[in-house]
Amino acid sequence: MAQLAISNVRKSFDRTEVLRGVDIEIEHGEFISLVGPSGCGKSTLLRIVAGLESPTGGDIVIEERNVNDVRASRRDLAMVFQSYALYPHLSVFDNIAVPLRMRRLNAWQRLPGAAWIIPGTRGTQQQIRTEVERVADLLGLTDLLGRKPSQLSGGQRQRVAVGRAIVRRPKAFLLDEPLSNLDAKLRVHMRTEIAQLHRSLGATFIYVTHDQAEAMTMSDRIAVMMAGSIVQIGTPDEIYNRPQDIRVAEFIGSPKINILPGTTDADGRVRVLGLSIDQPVEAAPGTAVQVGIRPEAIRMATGAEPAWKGRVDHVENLGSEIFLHVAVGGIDGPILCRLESVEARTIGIGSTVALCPKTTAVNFFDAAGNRLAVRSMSYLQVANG
Amino acid sequence: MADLALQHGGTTVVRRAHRRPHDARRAREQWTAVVLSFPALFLMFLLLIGPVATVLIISFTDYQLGAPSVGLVGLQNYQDLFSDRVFWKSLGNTLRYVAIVVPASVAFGLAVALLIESGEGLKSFYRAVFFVPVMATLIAMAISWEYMLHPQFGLINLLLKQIGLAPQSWLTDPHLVLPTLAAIGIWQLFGFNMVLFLAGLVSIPRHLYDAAALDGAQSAWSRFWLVTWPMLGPVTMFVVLISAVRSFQVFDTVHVLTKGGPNKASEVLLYTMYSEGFEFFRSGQAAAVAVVFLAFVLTLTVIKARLIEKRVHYL
Repeated sequence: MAQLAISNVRKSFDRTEVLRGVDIEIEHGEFISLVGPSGCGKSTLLRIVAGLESPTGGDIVIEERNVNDVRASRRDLAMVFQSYALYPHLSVFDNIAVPLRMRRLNAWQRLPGAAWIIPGTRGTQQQIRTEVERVADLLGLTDLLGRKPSQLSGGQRQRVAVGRAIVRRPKAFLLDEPLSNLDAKLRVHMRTEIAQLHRSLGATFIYVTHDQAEAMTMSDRIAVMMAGSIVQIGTPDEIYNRPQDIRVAEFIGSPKINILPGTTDADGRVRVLGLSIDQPVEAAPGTAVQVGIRPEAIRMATGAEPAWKGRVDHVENLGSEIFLHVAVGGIDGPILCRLESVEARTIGIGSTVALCPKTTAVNFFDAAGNRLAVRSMSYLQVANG
Repeated sequence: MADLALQHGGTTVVRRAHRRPHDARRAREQWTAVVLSFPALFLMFLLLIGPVATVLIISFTDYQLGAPSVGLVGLQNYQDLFSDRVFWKSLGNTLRYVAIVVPASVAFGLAVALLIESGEGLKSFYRAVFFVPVMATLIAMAISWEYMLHPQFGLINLLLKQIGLAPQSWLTDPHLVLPTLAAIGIWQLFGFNMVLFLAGLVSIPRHLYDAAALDGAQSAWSRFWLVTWPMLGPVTMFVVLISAVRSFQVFDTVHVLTKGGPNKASEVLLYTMYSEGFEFFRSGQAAAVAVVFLAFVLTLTVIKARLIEKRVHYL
C-alpha cells in the first residue's frame, strides 16, 4: 500500500483549470520528483498535498487516511520552500526549533520565562535543544546557530530550511524548488547533499522542480507534468530512454532531443529525410511519424553507408564532448549531434558531415505526440542482419 | 566594514599621489554642492531652525506680545514655570493623555487592521470609514463631539439612559474629562495607525504563514505571535512613536471643548502655551513651555531614529 496517494486531484482558480485529475501513488521512502515547465501545476499540487491549498476535487490519502479535511499543521508533513521562508527575526537555532516548540509546548509554555513557572517546560526545552543541536551538527550549522537569516548566504539559508524540515520526523518531506535560488555550482553540490540526506533519513521525498537535471540525478521516480496533468511517471531511465509522449522527450534531456519528420513505408519502416530507419513501427503505411533522436544517438556515418549530409553551423565544445549543430536540407532547425571530443577534433564550422542514427535508440511518435510501439525484436534483428 | 575601510584608505592614498589637479576639482565640486543645497538650507533656516532658535531666545527674555521693550531675564521664565502648579498639572495631564491614547490607538489600529485584512469583502469600504476621522477637520469634529457629549440632550447620555445607566457630565467632571478627551484622541488617531498597520501586514511574505502552518502553528493566536507580530516590529515602532508625538500635540479638542477646565483638569502643555502666549500675553513664559514641549518631542524623534535604524530591521 502506498504511503501517500494522490487520486484524481483537480484544482481550478476561478475559471482556470490548473490541475486536471492527477493520480500518483508514492511508496514509503521513495524520492519522487514532479517536473515540468513553469505553470504546469506542479507547485500547486505540492501545496495541495501540504494542505496549503484545498483541491477542487479528488483525494489526498496519507497512510490510508484521507486528509482532505485535515489542516496543514496536522498532516505531519515538512516542507522546504523555494524562498526558504525562514523567520527573519529568529536565530538559526530558533528557526530550527520552531516545529518542535509548536508541537511539544503549549501556548503558555512558549511564553518567555515559562520555564520558571510551568513544571515540565524546562525538560522539554532541554530536549528540544539537544535535537536542534543534533540536526545542526548533521548539516554543519553548529557555528551559525546564533545568527539571523539575514547574516547567512543563500546556501546556508537553504540548509537551515532543510534543518527546520528534518528536525522532527515527519511522514514525508515536500521540497518546492529548493535549489532554484542558488548559483549553478552550489546547486550541483546541494543535489548530492539532498540525495545523500534522503538515503540517510530513508524518508519519503516529494521534490518539485523545473530543472530536469535535478529530477534525473536525484529521483527514484519522476512524474512529468504538462498543463495540469501527469504525462508520464517512471524511473529516470524510463523517462529518458522511453518517453511515452513527445512533450516528455522534448522536456527531458539537455540539449534537447532532435525531432524529425518521417513517414512509414509499406513495411512499417520510417523514412526520415531520405533515410530509412531499420525499425518498423506499429502504424499503417504512409502515416506521418515524428521521430525523436537524442544528440548522443546520432553518429558519424562510415564509408558509403546512407546518411544525412549537412553543413556544420555551430560547434559547442564542452571539453569532454562536443555538440555539432548540423543544417540538413528538408528541416528548419539544425540536427544536434554529440560526439566525443577526439572524434570531432577535425570538424570545423562550415565543413560537411554525414550523420546517421543509432537505430535502437530512436523514439517514434504519432502526429498527436504519443509513442508508437516498435514491432517485435526478433523481426528487428532479422531486418538489421 | 573592514573591507570598506581598506578601500577607503586605498582611495585616499591614490588621491594624495596626484594632488594638485584633483584638489582644484574637488574644491569646485564642493562649491557647487554648497550652491545647490543653498535653497534647501535657506528654507530650513527660515521655516524650522530659525523659529526654533527664536523661541529658545524669547524663552530667556521678559518679552510680552506687543511690548515696546525686551529685556534678558536668564532662566527666570523656567524658574517661574517649574514653580508653577499649573505647569506641573499641565505636564502631568499631557503625559496621562499620551499614556492612554498611545497604547489604545495602537492596539485598536492593529486590531482593526487585522480584522480588515482577514476579511473577504468590503476592505476598501472599511479602510475609508475608519480613516475618515484622520481626514476630517478636528475642530469641526470636536464641535460634533461637544453635542454628542452634552449632559442633557447629548446622544451618548441618551443612549446610557436607554440602557438604564446614569448619565455622566463628560466634560465637566474633573475625573472624566481627560479620559473623555483621550477617547476622542483615540477615535481620531487609530485610523491613521490602522492604515500603517495595513501596509505592514500586506508586506509580510505569505510564505511565512505557509511555513508556520507546516511547522505546526495551529491557531490564529500562534500564527500572530510567530509571524505577524514580529514581522510588524518596525511598523509598530514607527506607529508608537508617531502616535506619541501626535498625542503630545493635543490642543484642538481641549481648546474647543474644555479650555483646560474644569479647574485645570484638562490643561495640557500646548494649551498652557497658548493661554500664556495669547491670553496673558506672556510670550517669554509661553516660549519656555514651548521649549519643554520641544524637548519631549525631540527625545521621541531621536529614539525613533535610533531604534528604527538599529534594532528592528530584519532584512
